[in-house]
Amino acid sequence: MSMKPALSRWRKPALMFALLLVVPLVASPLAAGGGSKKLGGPVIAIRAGTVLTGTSADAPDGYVVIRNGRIEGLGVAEAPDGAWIVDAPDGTLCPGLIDPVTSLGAADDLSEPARALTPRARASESLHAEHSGFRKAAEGGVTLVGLSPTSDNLIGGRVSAVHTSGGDARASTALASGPLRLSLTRQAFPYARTPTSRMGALPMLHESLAGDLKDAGALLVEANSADEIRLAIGLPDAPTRGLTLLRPYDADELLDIVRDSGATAVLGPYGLSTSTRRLRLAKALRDHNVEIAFTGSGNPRALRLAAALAMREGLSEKDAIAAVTSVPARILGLQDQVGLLQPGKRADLVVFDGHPLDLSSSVQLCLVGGFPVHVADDE
Amino acid sequence: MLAIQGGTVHSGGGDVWENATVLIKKGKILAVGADVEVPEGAKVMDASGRHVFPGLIDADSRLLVDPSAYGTGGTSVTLDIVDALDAYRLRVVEDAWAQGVTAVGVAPQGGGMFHGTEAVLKLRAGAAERVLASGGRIQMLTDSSARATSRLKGLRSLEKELKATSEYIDSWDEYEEKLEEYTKELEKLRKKEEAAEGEEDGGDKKGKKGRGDKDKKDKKDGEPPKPDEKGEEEKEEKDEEEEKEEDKSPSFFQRVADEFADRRPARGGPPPKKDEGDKKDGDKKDGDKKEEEEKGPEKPKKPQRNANRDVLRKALEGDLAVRARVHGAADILNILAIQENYPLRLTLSGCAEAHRVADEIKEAGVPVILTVSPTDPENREAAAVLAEHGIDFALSTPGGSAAETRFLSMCAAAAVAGGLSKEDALAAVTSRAAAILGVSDRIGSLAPGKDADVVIASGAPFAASAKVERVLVDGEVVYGE
Repeated sequence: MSMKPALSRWRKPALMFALLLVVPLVASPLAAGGGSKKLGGPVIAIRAGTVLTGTSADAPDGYVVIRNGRIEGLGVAEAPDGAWIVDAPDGTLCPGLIDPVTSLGAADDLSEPARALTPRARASESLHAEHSGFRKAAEGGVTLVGLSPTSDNLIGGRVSAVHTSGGDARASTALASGPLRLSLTRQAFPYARTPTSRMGALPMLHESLAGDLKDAGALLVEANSADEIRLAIGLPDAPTRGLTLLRPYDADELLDIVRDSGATAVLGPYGLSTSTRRLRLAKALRDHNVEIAFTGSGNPRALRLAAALAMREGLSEKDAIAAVTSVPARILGLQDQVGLLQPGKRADLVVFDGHPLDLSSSVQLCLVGGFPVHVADDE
Repeated sequence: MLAIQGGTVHSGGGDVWENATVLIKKGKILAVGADVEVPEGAKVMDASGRHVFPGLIDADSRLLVDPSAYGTGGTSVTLDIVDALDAYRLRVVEDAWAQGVTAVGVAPQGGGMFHGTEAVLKLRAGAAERVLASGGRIQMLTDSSARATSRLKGLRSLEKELKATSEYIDSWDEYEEKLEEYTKELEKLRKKEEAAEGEEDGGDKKGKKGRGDKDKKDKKDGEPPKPDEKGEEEKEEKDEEEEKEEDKSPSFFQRVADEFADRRPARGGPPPKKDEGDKKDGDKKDGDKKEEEEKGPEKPKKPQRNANRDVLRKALEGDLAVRARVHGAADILNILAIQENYPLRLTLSGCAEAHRVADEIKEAGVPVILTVSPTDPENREAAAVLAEHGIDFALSTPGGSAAETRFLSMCAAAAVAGGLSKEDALAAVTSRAAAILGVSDRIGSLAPGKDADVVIASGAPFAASAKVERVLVDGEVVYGE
């Protein structure tokens, strides 16, 4: 994680990747506070063999220049004076990966079990910003996560978007009040508390969403079975608010209905024994123009595995990349900030030594808000 | 004859040829390389722009095995996983082909200290005969729960069992030695009697009869056989039945011949045929001494047969290999320490944290079937370290369920991210896996004479975007058109 001044040797000697320090380090990235509120950091110019912008436009040849923690330009012919130059002819530069539904860095439970509806709860209240999981996430190329309430409540509270730069909680919290997390699964109405059934739950939910929570914004709803998915789509104003279905496993039974609702889907985590049917759901949804994102529940390898497995079952590379970058950015409401490699966006960027979704690739460099939070070590 | 032409061919053994040809005849590979001439009349399969490599082999899989094979139970090393195969799980086979897997190693699990023998299955079309090899290796320490609750106890009982088996071998060796002596003595005695009886008339006949009478009597007032210290199963009824039979044919020569027949320990161990030795031993104390002295030497006591130990004996004598399932560096060291005292032909599987004790594994010269999970960082690095140490290893899926096997290439890819070279990773799921499973003469590499189990994919073996387009098993297309 630390930046070493002498970075001439790399773990894989065959790798043509080289990070040249042109100016001495100002300070260690963490001491400088690599957070969203306080952008800054060194001027960096990155040239990689492959650049995945995430947009329809191909990246022009040249450097991607980063200044004040933001992407200043693409296809810059000459690196600015005094910039760090990162030259990775065999590497792939892409937007930092985003895992929209995790419990990463939670210091405490992410649910309030005494009550079924806790719309005012915010996951960021439970954030432990120094959690070691953030470092591991950054090492795996994940630069932003959604810290989400669990599915133990009908309305669990707000998802908070948190950068993986670690350190100061306020600085690393990108958005404290993200989408409202709901659950329609059996888990949300246990016998020990009212409501104890779906019959009892639905009126409460509708009343709340049509009343106090009328302007509460986007919803992230756990709905696994076909009936749960239908209920989620039928929630008050669901399509206009922005609806994201979490793990809609049976969505392949009502693809047209999901498409017409305009909902986005979050799938995963997937394991090696996940059924072929579930792995094919990603492609089926995309074929029906439904946006999809993946989650690895905070494990960066699981996030990439989910995308890689879906690719094995037919998902296109472009959709797979979007599903771990721009789509989750939109789910968290941060599409203006992150998820694409575009001038003006935050410099949350990753350089892999191969394709980001090849499980054989490793992260060579991970920048969060323009600060290098992970540089592959020579040992 | 079939020629797969124009692709980038990976032999599985480390060779890569661009724009090469794989020539197949009657299900076997005839030739491989960049300058292979395609004979006239051969059917040509175009693989230009594609990658061609051997069918992948998951050395530790649950594919096609009925889940009941993984129950818990005592040490029962005589079992054979082949008996638990379910050939009709065609769906999982198709899923495996779709990801380039054409063979698996399957082994029983969950049976305590020792468990039955493993098998290598080739994923042929339909429910055809798939067993490529079986019976060559028994399982050791398969029950992780036994170890997790008390690893010390588990290892102690493992050593105890091996020690008991050594003693079992010694007792049989000793018995056989003594039996030989005894037979010689008897022979001497018989000659002496003959000589003596030759003076009288028809003595030979009488002598035989006399001996038969004596046996009958001995058995009737003989003590029951002493129970073995462990109280192992000994079939009393069977013994008695056989005794009766013996009574009917008490021919001396017949009896000696039977004794010798008994000495052959077959696979799985022959059931105890008769227990005369024990009875006689008991008799001796019964005041028949006089008669014994008169009649001849003392017959040695025959040890009790134990089917499990007959199999373990083969393992200790090197006729059977042993696969030990180990979970962690300490576990590995403990097993290697046991191997120092008991010369087992050991293969380690699972092997979390193997990289921490790579020096010790190298020194012991033990091959490793390393489990790699794409989501758990631990063993990713282990593969690279094992390769650096020159340790013979294969990569396998975590093996939690049959469905994992299809994504073997994902596991190998994770090992590449941990620093293993791509060709080493491919070898670890093809040629090395075949060698460790003992089937490298048939599968695991694209080389002349090997079975034509071939994968044609749109990209390099571990690339995310690579799709398996066609799979051949024994030269027949089983997947793709």
